[in-house]
Amino acid sequence: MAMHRSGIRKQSAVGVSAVTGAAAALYNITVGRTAIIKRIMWQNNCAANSNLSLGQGLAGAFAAVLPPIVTLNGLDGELNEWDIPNVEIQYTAALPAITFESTVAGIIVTIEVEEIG
Amino acid sequence: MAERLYAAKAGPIDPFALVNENVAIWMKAMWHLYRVMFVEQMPRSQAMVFDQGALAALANTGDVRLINLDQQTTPPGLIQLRCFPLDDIQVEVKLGRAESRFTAANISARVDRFTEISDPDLHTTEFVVLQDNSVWVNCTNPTAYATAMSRIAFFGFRYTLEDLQTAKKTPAEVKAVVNNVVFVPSGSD
Repeated sequence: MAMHRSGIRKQSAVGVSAVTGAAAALYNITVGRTAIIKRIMWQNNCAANSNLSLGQGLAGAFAAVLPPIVTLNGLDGELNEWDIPNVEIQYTAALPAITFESTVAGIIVTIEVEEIG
Repeated sequence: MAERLYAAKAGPIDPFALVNENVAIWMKAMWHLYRVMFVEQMPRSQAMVFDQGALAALANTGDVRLINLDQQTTPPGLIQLRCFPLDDIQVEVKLGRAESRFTAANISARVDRFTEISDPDLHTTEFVVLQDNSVWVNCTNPTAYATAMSRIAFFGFRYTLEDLQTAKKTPAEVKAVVNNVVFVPSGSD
């Protein structure tokens, strides 16, 4: 039997995004595992359209792992695994979390990940 | 009666011996001879789920005795179990507090939620506990988040045994006493 690479589904808490340059942790990856984002759910109620970015690194050290998502003011939205590239994000001591930021602060976000390890 | 080495039996759980069959149980560096008098199944169910409670991120429970898996001592009881965690924890299984199961020279393998992915029947988690011994577990939360529950589910078979009052050092010596016998480890080497 081939070894599967199935993982464990986990979810972040509900986070509220900070403005570009002030990226904060959204999901802390378990030590020794990798994480693949399987679902992103958001609501933009911050009075302006905004780009939402997910990546690694805090504040000015943020590096996106996906292209920015355009979120429209007053609307919610979601992306599911068939819409999201299978980017596998590694835990390291320096980059222990999936982080997020947006061009306008205040987007409410939850992600679902699959951890492998 | 077919001779079987239970530890080599991949696939769904199966009693390693049936009524009136002989078993040699490895414990304290000896093969102890018994004959099976009675076998009964222990299905996976709520009663066989043990919750070690909330765990902070990266914390462990320490060694916890699962006294409700203890077997009767007269006549000798024995339980054959497989296990899996319901929550995202790593479980170190011990027979008695000091004896870890699934050990290499330098590490102890643990049972976690990935175990079932490569071993759906969980046969690599199988262990056997004889009377006067207890299952102990140490559960670790590997994640960066607190977990509210640390549940482990067990299932298997329990046995009542007749003690043949014989213990031997080697399998050859055991087979000189009873030819048809199942060798069952219940302790480390």
